[in-house]
Amino acid sequence: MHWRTGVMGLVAILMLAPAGCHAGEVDDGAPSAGPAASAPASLTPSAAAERDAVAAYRGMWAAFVEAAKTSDPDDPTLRKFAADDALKLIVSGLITNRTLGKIVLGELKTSPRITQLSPSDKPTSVEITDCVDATNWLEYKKSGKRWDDKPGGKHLTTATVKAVDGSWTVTSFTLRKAGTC
Amino acid sequence: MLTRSRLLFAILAGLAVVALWASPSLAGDGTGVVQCDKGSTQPGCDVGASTGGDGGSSETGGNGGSKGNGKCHSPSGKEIPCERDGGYAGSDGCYYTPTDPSPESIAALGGQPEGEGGWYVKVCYNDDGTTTGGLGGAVWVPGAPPTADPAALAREARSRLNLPSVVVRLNPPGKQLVNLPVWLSLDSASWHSQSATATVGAVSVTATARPVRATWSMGDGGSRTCTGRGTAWSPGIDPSAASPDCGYVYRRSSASTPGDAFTITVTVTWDVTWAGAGQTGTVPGLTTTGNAIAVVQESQALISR
Repeated sequence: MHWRTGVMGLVAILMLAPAGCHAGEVDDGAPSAGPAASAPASLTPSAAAERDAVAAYRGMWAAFVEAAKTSDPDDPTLRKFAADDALKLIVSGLITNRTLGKIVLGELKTSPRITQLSPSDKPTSVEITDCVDATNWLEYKKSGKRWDDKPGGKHLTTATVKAVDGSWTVTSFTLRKAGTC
Repeated sequence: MLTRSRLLFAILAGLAVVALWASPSLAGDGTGVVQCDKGSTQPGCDVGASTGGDGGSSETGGNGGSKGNGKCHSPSGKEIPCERDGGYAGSDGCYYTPTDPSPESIAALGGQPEGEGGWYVKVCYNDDGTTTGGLGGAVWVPGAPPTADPAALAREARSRLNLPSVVVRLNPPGKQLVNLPVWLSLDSASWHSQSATATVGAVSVTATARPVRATWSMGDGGSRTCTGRGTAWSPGIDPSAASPDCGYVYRRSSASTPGDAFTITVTVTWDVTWAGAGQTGTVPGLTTTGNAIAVVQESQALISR
């Protein structure tokens, strides 16, 4: 019954932070990119990468929220948006919830910001920072009762989104304890 | 009195709200299972680490947290409950529940590692009863079960079961005839209960496999499912009589099939139960398969119209 407090001791690990990370900046390198008004018909490669990376990131969370309603680790939509360590983490978490008889219900809010594009001219890897708001995304027993009476919180989150053959998936993310943002 | 008790209630309710707000870090939200601790071993937490296949690196206990006196202890020697949230204590002080991930889940977890072992959901707790972030999840534990949990030992015992191969008896022997009943049966050695035992510390569990069903795929597109091994036809029985419990009738010859024969596949399904440490239960079943060849010929004389 205390699984949620896995939140407690958590500090980040990973942080694939390559040199030159400009945390906090959006679009840190698209010198050739003119204002949208001057090129309305097509996005620059970096703008397209930002759009697609954010779409994959949001898609992953939406799929996670959906799968967590029934603790289904085999949800195919998850695999569209998450891969590698990100998928492993979520699948492992959903299997854990299923084993414990736990589901997660409610609304999760994301507000992703791009912090890095690499390479900057034609990005294939995008770093995202977010403050994931799980205040109303809470754990329940299958009976419909709350798992515990603890409140949800906001979690500082970083994610790496990569393109393989033009298809963007979240390959890893680190979500920290409640109250980190 | 009424107003006083109402006031008291209001104060208590107010305190409860304050208490909730005072502990924002105790997030009871759904992100608990995907948070990562420093030095985490949770699958997917350690970027750059290899796949689930390196489960050997996890510091699970080889012989469980249960000592001979039936009590369980953390690595520091503190007495802990043997069971929590359905999991059973390992010698590392974490709790393990056997699990059966689907092939899709196993792929996501990095693939099925080679060798003996099992999949478990691992949950670790702090001394104050909270769970440690990032140390649990779905993990592969190589070798013997990490706990003396009878249910985990049952998986181990199940993996040690040596089920007999399926030997098919087709009767009458030799070539079969269209429209003539075939008696389907299995050799008695293919159809009897088998047991195996696994032991960790003082706990032993015996898994017993019992054949419950034989599914016959006859090679001509038809199939039969029988709940016994079938009855062997013996000379002296009317060849046109049907088997009392497991029979089939071919309606066409095998002449136009490759090899001029139908390939019969028999799948035997085994239920596996276990008993030990005063408990009983079931674990996922097993199957065995065998094949036979049936040459089926036309026999005009036996067709009655």
